[in-house]
Amino acid sequence: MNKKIAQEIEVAEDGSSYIRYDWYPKAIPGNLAMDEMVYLDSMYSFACFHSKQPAGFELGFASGNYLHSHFLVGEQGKIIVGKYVILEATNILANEAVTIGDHCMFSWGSYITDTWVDKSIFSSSARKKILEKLASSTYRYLDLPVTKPVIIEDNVWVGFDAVIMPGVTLGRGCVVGSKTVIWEDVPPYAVIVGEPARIVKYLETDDNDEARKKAIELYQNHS
Amino acid sequence: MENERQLFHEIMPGEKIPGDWCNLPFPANITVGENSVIDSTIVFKQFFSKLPVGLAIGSHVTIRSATLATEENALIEIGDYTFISNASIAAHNKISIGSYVCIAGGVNIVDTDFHPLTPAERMADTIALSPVGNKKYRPQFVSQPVIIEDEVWIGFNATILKGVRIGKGAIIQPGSVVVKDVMPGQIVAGNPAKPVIEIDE
Repeated sequence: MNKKIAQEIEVAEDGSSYIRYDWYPKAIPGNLAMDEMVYLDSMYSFACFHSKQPAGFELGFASGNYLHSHFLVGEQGKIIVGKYVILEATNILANEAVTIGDHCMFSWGSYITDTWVDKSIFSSSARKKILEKLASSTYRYLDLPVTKPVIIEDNVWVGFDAVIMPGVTLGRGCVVGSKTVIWEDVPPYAVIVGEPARIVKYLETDDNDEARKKAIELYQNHS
Repeated sequence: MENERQLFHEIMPGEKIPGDWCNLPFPANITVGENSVIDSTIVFKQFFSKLPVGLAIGSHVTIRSATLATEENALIEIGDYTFISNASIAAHNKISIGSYVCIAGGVNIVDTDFHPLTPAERMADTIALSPVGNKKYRPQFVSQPVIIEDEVWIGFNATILKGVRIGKGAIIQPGSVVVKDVMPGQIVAGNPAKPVIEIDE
């Protein structure tokens, strides 16, 4: 681990890295691809991170998990997170892929999942088999066979307790209200709220490269 | 190399998990079958049941990051092969969960309103519950058992309220607020949860 991140890292004798003063005694997974100045909080967030992919989790520049989020990732799963993303006590389940752009914000209790029950496992025997397999496995990880990747574009804001369901694409700049469950794609810059979810308005499309450059000049501390 | 910490532990009534960060022992008044595991005893931080058996867990059960909260006279039952992940289950009376039930993250299951409804009684309740009050003389409030039958799956952030019976094999879609009984095999969604028809894509 050569990159400078926003937390102190300790390297153990066996070469594995730990977050200094982390209360949860788990090493930083070897397949966690971090850019500089990321914040990981505690490895408790990675307690159920079982990805066997070469880069099972990519975390972009200055992105952070600021409160105990949970990353529940199966062996085939992968999470890709862009730059300056704020993950606050959010839950990401990836048995295939969840991709998040730059400048996204996720509030507490929200779930982003690429896996849940669908028609193929509506039969009780199929669901029984899944739970029997789980009970005989080491990690006790709920490995649902149905996955549809989730794509969250740049600058998306997800409110608390919202649920983003498998196969959904959240368009750039959109806002998902608290406790809203999203089953279908959301167009860019839409504000979608309620149950069932409905679009109440569209926002200005002013989040261009120029605005981003200006914000970085104004607010980024280079020290 | 990745250091895989042991994530799950055997459930041992009355004992502590060796090396667990949470120093609480398991409650002594729980029964458990074979091959049932839990991640930490923090699950029992608000387990106050004084019944001879306040929690009955079947075999092959997995409980992770959940909260099993009980009042003094409350009972929680959990059947075989049931999986509970990061859910809060708060019982004032009785919450019965069948076998082959899957409860996803963020789910709340409660069998009570916790407090009375009328303003005067609520005022009295804040006093009875305060550090200078007496919990024994709280005003009455509604509490009705929740029954979740076998093979029910409950999605992320769903809420199951008091008095509800969820029939065998039903699916509660994520974010639902269930206030009424759900028929066996039914799929429900929304607030309040209503049956949905699955359309082929």
